[in-house]
Amino acid sequence: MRPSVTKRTPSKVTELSKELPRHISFLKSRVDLGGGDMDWLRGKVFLKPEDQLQLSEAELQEEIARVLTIHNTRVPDSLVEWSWKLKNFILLPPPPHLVTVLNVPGSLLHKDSEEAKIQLTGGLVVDTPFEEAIVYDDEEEREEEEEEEEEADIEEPEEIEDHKEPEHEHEHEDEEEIEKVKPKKIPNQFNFCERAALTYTNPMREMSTQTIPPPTGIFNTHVFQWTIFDEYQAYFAQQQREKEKERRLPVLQLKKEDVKKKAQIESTALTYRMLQAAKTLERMINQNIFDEIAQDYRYWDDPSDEFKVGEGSLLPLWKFNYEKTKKHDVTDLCFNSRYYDLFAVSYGTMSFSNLITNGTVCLFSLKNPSYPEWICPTESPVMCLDFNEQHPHLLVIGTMDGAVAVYNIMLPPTAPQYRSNDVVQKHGGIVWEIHWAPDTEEGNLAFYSVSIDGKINYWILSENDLALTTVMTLFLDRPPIPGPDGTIITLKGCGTCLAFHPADQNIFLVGTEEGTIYKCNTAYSSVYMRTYNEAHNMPVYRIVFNKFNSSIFASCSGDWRIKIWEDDRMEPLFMFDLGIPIGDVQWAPYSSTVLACVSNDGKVTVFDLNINKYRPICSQQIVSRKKYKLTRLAFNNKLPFIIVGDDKGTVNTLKLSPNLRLKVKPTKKQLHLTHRELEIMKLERLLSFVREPAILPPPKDTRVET
Amino acid sequence: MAQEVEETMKRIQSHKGVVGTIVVNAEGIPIKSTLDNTTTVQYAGLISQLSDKARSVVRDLDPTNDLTFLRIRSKKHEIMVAPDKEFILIVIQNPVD
Repeated sequence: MRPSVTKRTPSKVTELSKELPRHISFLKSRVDLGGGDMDWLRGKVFLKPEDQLQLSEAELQEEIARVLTIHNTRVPDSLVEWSWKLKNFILLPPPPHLVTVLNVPGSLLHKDSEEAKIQLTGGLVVDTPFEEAIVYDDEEEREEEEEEEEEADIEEPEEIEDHKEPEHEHEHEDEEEIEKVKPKKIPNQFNFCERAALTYTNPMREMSTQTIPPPTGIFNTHVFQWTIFDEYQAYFAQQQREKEKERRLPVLQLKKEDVKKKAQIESTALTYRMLQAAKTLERMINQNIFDEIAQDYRYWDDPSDEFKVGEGSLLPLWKFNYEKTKKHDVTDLCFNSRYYDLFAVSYGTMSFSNLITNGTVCLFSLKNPSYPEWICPTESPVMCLDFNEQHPHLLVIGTMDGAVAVYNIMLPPTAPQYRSNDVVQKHGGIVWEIHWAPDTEEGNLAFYSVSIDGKINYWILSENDLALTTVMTLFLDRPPIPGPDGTIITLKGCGTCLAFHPADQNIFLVGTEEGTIYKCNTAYSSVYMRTYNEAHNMPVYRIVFNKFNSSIFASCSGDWRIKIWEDDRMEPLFMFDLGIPIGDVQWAPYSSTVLACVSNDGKVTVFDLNINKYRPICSQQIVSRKKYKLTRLAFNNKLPFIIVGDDKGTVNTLKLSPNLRLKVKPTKKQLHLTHRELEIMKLERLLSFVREPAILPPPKDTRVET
Repeated sequence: MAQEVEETMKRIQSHKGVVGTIVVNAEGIPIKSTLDNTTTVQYAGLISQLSDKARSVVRDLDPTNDLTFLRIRSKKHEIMVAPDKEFILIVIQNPVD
């Protein structure tokens, strides 16, 4: 119950204020209310309405007694209700004066009560008090409501009570039913103690430790197809190894030496790879430096040749030299049969007055003009060399002291693979020319050499040494002369050059210092097949067979002449006099009628007999006339260029202009013929003009009729 | 043979237009160079990355194939690279001199 006293006083005041004119008081109270709210928030400021009753001191002192009675003044005295039945208000019985302040249901039961009996027999205890409490709460609410709203509300709680009571009954009925089904003994409620102990509750404590995190690393990678491929390869290799291990039961433990050896092999392999890489890089650098030359070498053809009939030119390309051989003469040149850009150069000396005592063999590649690919220093000046056609890694050399040696150019140039014995197997003088021979019947390699001592030797490469046979000794066709101590000496010719017949490997030609050319056969060591006496007046420097017609050969000599011969004809077919010693002559590999020569005045002269039988089609100064002499020349077998060696250790590369490499154009009828056949026909036609018939038939007598 | 490598490298350096040569080991560390330190480190790092990538490209196209050489032509230089498992040779050349 709320104390209603305080409420009443303001109401009384308002009642009093009703006496004043309403309009004003209404407005003012409104204003004050607005301000009053704010004042309320601020604190205790008593507001006196203006129209408050002014009391005198005595009146204020007056005591007003208040009495508490058991009589509830708030209970209405006479409640009436409209009865529709009687059509009249009827008086309702006064509501009770009872006010429930506190209601605590106990758990004690009377022994004789129904519930106790049920419990004793083992029924369930139903907690009803809660619900009852709700009911009472409701009653309390109802009472509160009664204070504010009066008549209408009173009925509702009663109705609720009415509804609730039957529910209780229902519940009780349900409980009774359950009790009947399970008559279960419950423990004695009064003499029962539950054996449970409450232990000390340990105070909660938070314990946590932080461990040092394990080291982590970020790893990321991509998987490529080749990674997978490599993994598979490695796996396969390992499997193979395991299989092999299984086969070989006694596992051989790797000795320390083996490990060392393995490491050594690996390191050499690495160095080798590095060397190869460095060499390739050097080639690239040279390609960049000599880019223009490389372009010309492959693609530039002198366009002016179209307008120059029967005349050509040579385009100088790279120059090859090696620091240490600048004073040597280039004594021989040879292209490799497998790598067309690779050629060997032998450094020796041609003039025997200078004091050069050593020699060098260098291999150059067009891909690296600045430095030789392979350098082999020798004790004696190298005079000639030759690459083997079938085994392009084998190089044979002949030296000034009469020795010959075979090198394998795949190995480092430290020592030759074969070397002639200095005492027993040796030429008596300069080895002027050397040529590989066809393999022997046993499959051994062999070569021929010709020397100034007048012997032509045949060397066979056996397993670890050279076997020597003297094929021919060039005795001169002169009577023996008496020696200083009474002996008789048959003079020998000094062989300077050698050429093997391309078709018949037994036949060969030898040129001598006397200018004679001998045609010999390996089968007969004492007889010449033919002697071209006085073929030249000076030493013959070179004899070469035509590449297309094996019965035609050319020779050059120090007597300024080039002669072109036909087999079995004592007189040359052509003769060219250049007015200067000619060091070398070579037939072109692409045409049957083109030949080139080098002369001592530094000129390269090219002839094409098909175009001009009397004059060269090109004669070009390559090096300075005063300082240099040209010594040797070689045609490349694949591309239209030549290399020319001089007496200062330099090799010049020259590209032949289109007019110098004219090929036969087949007519419509000749379309089925190969290039080789056409070239042979061209030469044959040319020769038929030149050949003098062996016997001139006298003209037939004709009767002249008069 | 090691001496021969040395000689070749020396010769390369003496060629016309060659700016510098660098030898890089398997770990990508320059072990021999004719250039100054910063440039060398820069070249070694970048070129080894590039050659790895280039090798990856070649190997990915055909796993049995492999990269042998690499030439990079720029406006100013040509960088020639010989990549190997164990080393990389780098030569920088100025081709138009």
